[in-house]
Amino acid sequence: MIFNSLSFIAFFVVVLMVIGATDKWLHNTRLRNVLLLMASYYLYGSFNVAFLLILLYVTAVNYAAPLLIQQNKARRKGVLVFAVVLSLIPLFTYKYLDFFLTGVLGLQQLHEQWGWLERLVLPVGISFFTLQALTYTIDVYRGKIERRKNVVDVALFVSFFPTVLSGPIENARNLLPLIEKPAGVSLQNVTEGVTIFIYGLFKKVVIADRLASYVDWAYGSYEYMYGGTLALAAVFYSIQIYCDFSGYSDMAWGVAKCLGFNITRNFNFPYFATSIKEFWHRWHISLTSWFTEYVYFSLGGNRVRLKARWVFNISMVFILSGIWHGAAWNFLVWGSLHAVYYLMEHFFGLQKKDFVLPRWLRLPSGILVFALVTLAWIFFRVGDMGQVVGIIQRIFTHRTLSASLGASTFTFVCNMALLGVLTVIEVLVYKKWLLTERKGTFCTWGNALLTVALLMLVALFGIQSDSFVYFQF
Amino acid sequence: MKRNVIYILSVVVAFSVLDFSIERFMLHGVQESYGLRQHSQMLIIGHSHLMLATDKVRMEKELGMKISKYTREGVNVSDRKVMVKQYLDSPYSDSLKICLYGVDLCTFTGEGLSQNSYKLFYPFIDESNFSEYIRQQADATDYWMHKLVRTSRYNDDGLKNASISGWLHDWRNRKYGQVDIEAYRQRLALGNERHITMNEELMQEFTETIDMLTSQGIRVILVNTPTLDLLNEFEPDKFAQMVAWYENYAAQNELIDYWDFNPEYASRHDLMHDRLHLNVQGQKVITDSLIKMLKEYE
Repeated sequence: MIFNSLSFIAFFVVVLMVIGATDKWLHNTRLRNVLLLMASYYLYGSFNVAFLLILLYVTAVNYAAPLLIQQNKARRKGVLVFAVVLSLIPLFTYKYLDFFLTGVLGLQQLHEQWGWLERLVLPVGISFFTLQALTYTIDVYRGKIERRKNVVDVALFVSFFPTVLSGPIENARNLLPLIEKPAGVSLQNVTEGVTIFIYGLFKKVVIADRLASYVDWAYGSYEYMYGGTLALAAVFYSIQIYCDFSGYSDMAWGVAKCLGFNITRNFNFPYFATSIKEFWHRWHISLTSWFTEYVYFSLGGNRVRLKARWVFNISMVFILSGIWHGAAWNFLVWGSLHAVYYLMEHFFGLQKKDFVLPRWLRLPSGILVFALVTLAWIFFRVGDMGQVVGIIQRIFTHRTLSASLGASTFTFVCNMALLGVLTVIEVLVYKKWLLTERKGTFCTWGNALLTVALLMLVALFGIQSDSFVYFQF
Repeated sequence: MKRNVIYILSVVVAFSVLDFSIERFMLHGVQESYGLRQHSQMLIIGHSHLMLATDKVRMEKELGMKISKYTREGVNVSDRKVMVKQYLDSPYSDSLKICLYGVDLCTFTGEGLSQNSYKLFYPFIDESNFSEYIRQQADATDYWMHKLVRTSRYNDDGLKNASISGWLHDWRNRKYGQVDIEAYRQRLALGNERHITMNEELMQEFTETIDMLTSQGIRVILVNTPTLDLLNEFEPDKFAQMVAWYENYAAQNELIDYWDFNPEYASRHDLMHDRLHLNVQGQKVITDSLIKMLKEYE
């Protein structure tokens, strides 16, 4: 049951009505949270009931660990390390074990001996809810929040259905207080939430899924494609992955908003960035924040004596961020490439506090950043490194200026027109003319027109797909 | 609270009005495009292969007759049966004399054609026979979704394209490129091509469709517009067998003819956009031939 399905919309309408009725007539937060927890488990279990066991396991570890941390002050560090290891066991087993044994250690024969190794199916959202759960344990350890006694609240924090599948990775100190003292369902929140949801839906089913057809077609038989076609596919993939993931995040944001939760915004117009550093402040914000807070700062951040140590810290963040996406060399290269971009930007002095990019250089810089990010996405999208090399080689050597329009010229023209529509909307939202409150209210003519237009575009151009790119992570 | 209610009501009303208006607009275009609301003397039935091979406007002008060109991307033999029935059941079919029915080497393979082509009939979901046909093929959610949200019936790009063509009266072939022979040779070398098979169920659907036309005294011409010679030679025996089947089938009924353009044009690579479809030049050449042959046929 995914956000862009009618079954999810039906499910959500029921949940919203039940929670709304609870808020209006019963005013019982405990009951509200029990109901939300049930809904969250139902949604998560709809993918595979067995996956629920993993979710429950991670919840149990991270509910118990803070208790032990507070009870055993002398051994709190040991408890923390133990809890982190225990929490990461399912993630490691499902996501990294095969790669570690066969890819790193070269034990290919294990595939024959342990048939189950290849059959392991990655539980959806495991990389997200594991990190989310860990923020609670680590924050209690660091004394940033108090341990919670209410198991329902903690369980809901880990499994909260708008975020459990693909984030945003919420911080315990942000989400737990909202769970404990909910703002409640209101018509205003629902109006705003539904509009945001529809915008996310538009990005997903109208832009991302349509571009995906071209990208899959071009990369699927890259050896027959012109260089220009592959370059265009690379650009389309940059837009596809942004619209897929930010579309999902917007839908999650909208759903949570309807229920009275203000969760983290995961994207802030990343392709408007004029530097790699800025890009990472705008892309997958919750993951970047997680790695910054729990990895970069733990390694010492920039408060280190040796420059080499800082370079190591930065590199680790990007490399871990790459590996977080999956156990494969291409993700490692993708993360490393971004580390190189980031460090080069630093060494060229472009990240100095007193450096101001001249106005006339903003557009070229933005295009350069987009090009660099797009190049890195090729590694991200195409798993096989040989194919990546083949694609990049072909882009520059085989009719770079000739691009095929794909299976249908009309579809291509539609896609280009829709990209134009997306650009206009993104600029208007960026400038805070749309999808925001004006004169103290969200109910503006601009937002109403946008909602109607987006609904029409979804109905006319939307494609039904059964997954999101980030579900595989 | 009041403001929110007005906002929601405005959105719902505006959406409903637009939804209805756009659907009416699109439906008119689709009907115009396929010629479903006109008394035609000729009906062209097929998928993209025949769609790109025939210039309806020139044919109408040169032959001096009305033509309904009901060709759609990806339609298989079963869909074409529904399409033929749709026109024959309409009050506009009384003038129909000839049907050009597109055939090729994969007509009975089914593979490569849409498996969900019932979706192409969503624009006609309000017509009782189509409503039933779609209800049988689609799941209930899909069916009701398209019944209620009217614009979603035009979700397929081919339908939008058809509607716009209908409004503009513009059926031009826009495939300007030429097939990349080297790339296709590489593909063939890897054995990366679909195989010719003769699915009996599809053959049954095909013969029923042709019977439906001939039983009303309508002449049927099975038109095999050219496909790339390299493709035809991929499985030469099966290809020859397929051609022989069409020839034999046509020979059994004086109302049926088989016109094969492959011997003359399959090696003309300059006419092909890809291994299956003709480009602009290809359309011109084949339309010229068709017009000439149809004039002699009359």
